[in-house]
Amino acid sequence: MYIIDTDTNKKIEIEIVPVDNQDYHKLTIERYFFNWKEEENFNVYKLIIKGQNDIFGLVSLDFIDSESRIEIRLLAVGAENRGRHKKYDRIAGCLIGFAARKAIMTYSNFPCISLVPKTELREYYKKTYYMTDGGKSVFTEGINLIKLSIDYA
Amino acid sequence: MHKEKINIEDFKELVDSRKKSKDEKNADSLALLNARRESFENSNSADQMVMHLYRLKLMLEEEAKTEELTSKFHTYSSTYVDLLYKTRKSFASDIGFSETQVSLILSGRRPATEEFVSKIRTHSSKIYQKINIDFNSLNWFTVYHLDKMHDYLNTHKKDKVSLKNINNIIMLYDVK
Repeated sequence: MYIIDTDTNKKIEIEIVPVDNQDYHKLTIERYFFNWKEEENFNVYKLIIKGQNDIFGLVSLDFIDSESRIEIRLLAVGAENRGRHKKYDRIAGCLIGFAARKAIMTYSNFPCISLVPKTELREYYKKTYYMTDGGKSVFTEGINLIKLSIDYA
Repeated sequence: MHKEKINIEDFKELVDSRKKSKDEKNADSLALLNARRESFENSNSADQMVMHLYRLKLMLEEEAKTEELTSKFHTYSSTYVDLLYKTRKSFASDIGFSETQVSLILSGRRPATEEFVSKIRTHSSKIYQKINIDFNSLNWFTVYHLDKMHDYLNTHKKDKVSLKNINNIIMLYDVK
């Protein structure tokens, strides 16, 4: 998996690994928007550049076994990489692609990922991440889930 | 939550799916299941086959990354063969092995041979190419050697398997 340095267009190799207990004190609301301490009981992962410690993005996943579905409960990219002036691109995509791969590996039959987007960004998520409407949520499964996983591999 | 000075563009990189109540969660689950039912009814067996093969590829990749062994070589190889063939006899015939040999290997009653791994490697390369999915077929060899080393170490009660040793062996095969 890689992110892109928007200044040089260079691909930077990243990895997504579980958040350590010691990480939580670094996860400030100013940089990561949410109170991540509240997510301690869920599966929280961090995106880091290989061999470095700085956390560029976070995702909290809820494995809903009865529905073969993973819900992206929370996702945040560090403040410096959000919006038009971001230094690195593809961080959110890599985190969503990671959730897609987790779903495929966890659920052998009809794996699915879902999230609840802001109303104004519904179409953006559908277009960018091959998602479909499903009530308040948008979701992706089947061949589209594979495409998403490959796009952000 | 910290919502001041946040532009809608920023929310492309922020998701909050948390539900306020159990009722809201149930209603959302129901709506999702209904939408997925529609999508399920439109899916076909070829799509499902691609999904299973893609899953197997990811699992082999994961297995090849670590020194631990989650599943044995024969589990992966039998999953692969049973996905593609109605009978193991047909697979045996396609790779030029006897039905008995294949049956014993895939059931784990006899260890796989390098020749068998090589055959399954070539076979899977073609299959994944057909479905347009990038696949490192050398992972079959990595898992095969991991399995062998785990077996050896279990028998001889030695320390952990070193992935470095296995990677050195894998380098002896032709590079992808």
